[in-house]
Amino acid sequence: MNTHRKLARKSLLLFGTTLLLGATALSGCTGNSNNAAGTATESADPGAGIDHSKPLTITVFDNAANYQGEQTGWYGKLIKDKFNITLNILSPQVAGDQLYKTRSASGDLGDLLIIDNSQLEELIPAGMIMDLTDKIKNTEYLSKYVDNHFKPFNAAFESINPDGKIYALPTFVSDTSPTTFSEEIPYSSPIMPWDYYKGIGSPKLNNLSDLMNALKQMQEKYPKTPDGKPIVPITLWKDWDNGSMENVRWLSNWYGYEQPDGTSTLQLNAKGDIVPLVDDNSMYKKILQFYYDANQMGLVDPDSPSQDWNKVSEKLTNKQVLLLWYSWQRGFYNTIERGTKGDGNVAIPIADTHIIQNSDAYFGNGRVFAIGSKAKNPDRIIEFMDWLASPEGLRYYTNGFEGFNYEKTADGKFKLTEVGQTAFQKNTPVPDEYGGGGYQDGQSKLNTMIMSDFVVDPETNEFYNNNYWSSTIEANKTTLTTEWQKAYNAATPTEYYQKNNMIDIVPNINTSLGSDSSDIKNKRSQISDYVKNISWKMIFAKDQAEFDQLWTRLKSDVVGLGWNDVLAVDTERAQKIVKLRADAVANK
Amino acid sequence: MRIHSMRSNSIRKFLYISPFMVLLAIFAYYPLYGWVYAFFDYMPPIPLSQAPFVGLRWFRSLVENQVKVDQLLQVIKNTFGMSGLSILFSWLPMIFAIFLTEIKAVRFRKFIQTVTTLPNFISWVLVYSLAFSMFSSEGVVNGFLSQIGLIDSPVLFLQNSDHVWITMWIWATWKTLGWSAILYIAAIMSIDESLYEAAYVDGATRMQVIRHVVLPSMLPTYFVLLMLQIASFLNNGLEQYFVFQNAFNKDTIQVLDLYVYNLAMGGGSYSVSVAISMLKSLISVVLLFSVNGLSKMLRGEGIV
Repeated sequence: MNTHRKLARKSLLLFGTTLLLGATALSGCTGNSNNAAGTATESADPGAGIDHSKPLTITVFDNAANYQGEQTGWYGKLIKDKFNITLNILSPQVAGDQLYKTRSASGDLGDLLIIDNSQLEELIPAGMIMDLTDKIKNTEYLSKYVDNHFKPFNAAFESINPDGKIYALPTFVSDTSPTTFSEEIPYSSPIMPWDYYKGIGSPKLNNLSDLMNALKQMQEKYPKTPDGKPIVPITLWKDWDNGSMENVRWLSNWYGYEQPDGTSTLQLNAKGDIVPLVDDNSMYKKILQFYYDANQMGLVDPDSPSQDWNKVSEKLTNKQVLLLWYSWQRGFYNTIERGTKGDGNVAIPIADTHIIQNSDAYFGNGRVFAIGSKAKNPDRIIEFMDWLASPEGLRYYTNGFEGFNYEKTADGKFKLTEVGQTAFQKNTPVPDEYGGGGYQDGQSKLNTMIMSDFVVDPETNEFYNNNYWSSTIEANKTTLTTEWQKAYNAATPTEYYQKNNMIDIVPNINTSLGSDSSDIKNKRSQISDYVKNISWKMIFAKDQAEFDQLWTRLKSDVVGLGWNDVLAVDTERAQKIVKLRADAVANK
Repeated sequence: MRIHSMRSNSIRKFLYISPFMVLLAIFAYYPLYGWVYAFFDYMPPIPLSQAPFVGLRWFRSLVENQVKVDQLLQVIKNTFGMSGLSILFSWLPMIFAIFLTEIKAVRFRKFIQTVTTLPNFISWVLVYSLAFSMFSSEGVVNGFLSQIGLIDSPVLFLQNSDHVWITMWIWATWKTLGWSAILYIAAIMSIDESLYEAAYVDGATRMQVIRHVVLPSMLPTYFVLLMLQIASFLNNGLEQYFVFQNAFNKDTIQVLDLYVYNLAMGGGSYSVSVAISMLKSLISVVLLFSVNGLSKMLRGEGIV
């Protein structure tokens, strides 16, 4: 269940980013949309020597997918025409976590596998993953990334991969550098509605109590949305809680402490200090205290403990929430149109924060592409995977069709067409020659890629991600952004935080952290349950005495549940991350 | 000769029931084989045959320290509490059925029956979203209460940690009352008309007829259903509690099934969950025999 939520969260996140991306793209760019079939599906010829005459159906076990069934629509037609391949996608997000357990227990998970690192770790020793070392060598595009990306990733699984073979390719690999952060805003940072913030006189926020006062003022001045819905300054939700309370976890990042994936009992800062969650001085406790204080001031949505994420997203869409933190949460309300009126959610820095931010996913983002050891036509699957990492494959995946979604400008860059700006949100019908159907319906349901859109397109020298095309940035200069830029004297929040020394960018580490023994698994699950439960109670405690008493109870009870054993495992993992980060910086 | 025909006769009779025996073996006894998982350290995808044997480790881990024991006891208490409540009120559908059949206006009766049966077909997830839209801080009920000026700040019904057992029982009853009454209505329909006629001839009032004719004829049905309910005493399901659980009511809402789910499926350990569900089966068997004994004592005949 937990992984399921995590998956759902990741896909939501992706969806959120895409929304945002689409929203930013709603620009005034009025290029004459040119629907002439430019680069059609037959532009590149598939690798010679492979027989494509027989149709091939690939069973894809895909943790990232939130769609189950055959890939249809324009993307389906594209790969059918190109490779004579049909993708049959199995999605644990749709079918449930048991799918992995039952299929893996039966010995054959599928042909193409998109799985978590920890699952890879279980499957290699079980002999269910094909060795790709030699096959990758002969590919046109993937081979370029072997030395910098794939080899180090696979080599990290030393205990189960002593010979350094290549079993799997990480997902969403960026091609920037292990210490670069390319996005315009940190993943978690304080975000508020710009117009409301201006409405209370744009007070400077020095710390969390200033933040609470500002929220209080905003709430008093703007108690209801224009259509009469109550405004809740802070809203929390429980369905993404995993090892600890997720809403607490991500606010800890503002003050430099992150809880690495794969651990649940500690937090880590950029210097490599490891602090157990239940330490009296932990950031986890400080954030709990912040939420508690906020609740005492009437700032926390009373529905928080009983609502789910869907309810929250509704509130975000209605602009009922004053404090946001995930970068993609802005996309629920912000649009270009509102932006021109200076209306939208923007980063409002708090002076005493010092954000910890993971760099671009140079080594990938936690999942891998692998091929099942029982796959029948591995060469054709490799060929397909190679295409996924090619400029053509990446452009189709991220941006759709040239001439339909985007077009070339005079200076050889790309620019979204009018159709392309809204094709995702509006699910615009795709011309029949491309396969028909809605654009969004027909997108790749793999829902993940090997190389990410933070890879530079050799043809334009810009990222594949159309959010970062110069044409998009130009079109996106709304009142909201220009006002913000003037106020903070920076082009983007990331730039502001960097200028003012308020952010630490740490290398994004994607590696094997070892899987839990069933004993640790049990203890972890019980502890997590307990920690989450008490955390929620602390935030909604009646008074400080109850808050303190719950904390004391938490500290002593988790020990009885096996805290020290789990903490030992997590500490080892955190130390590994610290070491790998140091290596990554040193090798820069 | 005679012995021979008797034997072939009994073989034939055995063949008649053999399909059912096979089904029983497949669906009731074969799954018991799954209990072996409780004694291994099973982690898919490593097959069971390669999993290390750990003996009673998972059983011991359930009680290895005070915090866990307290938790387990609380969970068992919740299970018994909530199942106990529903058994305590298990006569409700029967009474409901009796009163329903006493309604003479056919249309009204049909209406009531439909309205009470319908919730049974709504899934718990939908019931919860219904509950949320009614009882959340922005919900209908809070809106109404604050409009008529009874409250200033919203009452947080769903986060309330008081009376969780009773609220859960009310939700469950609302959902299942009409449906459970169906069997009793059928039982009432099959009561011999002449019994009623005799009672009326003897001058019995309506309540007396119910008391002396209807009720006694329904007791066998009631006891069978009661026994079935008790046999599944520990299986009070998890959907309802799963959707209604939150940090504040968790201590009182977590029943065995939900505990197994939260603990083992959440963490992905099959072996522990099998261990707990084995304990569950044992308790259920004990309960079943005690009810059977009770029935023998009270009615002079067992049910099994």
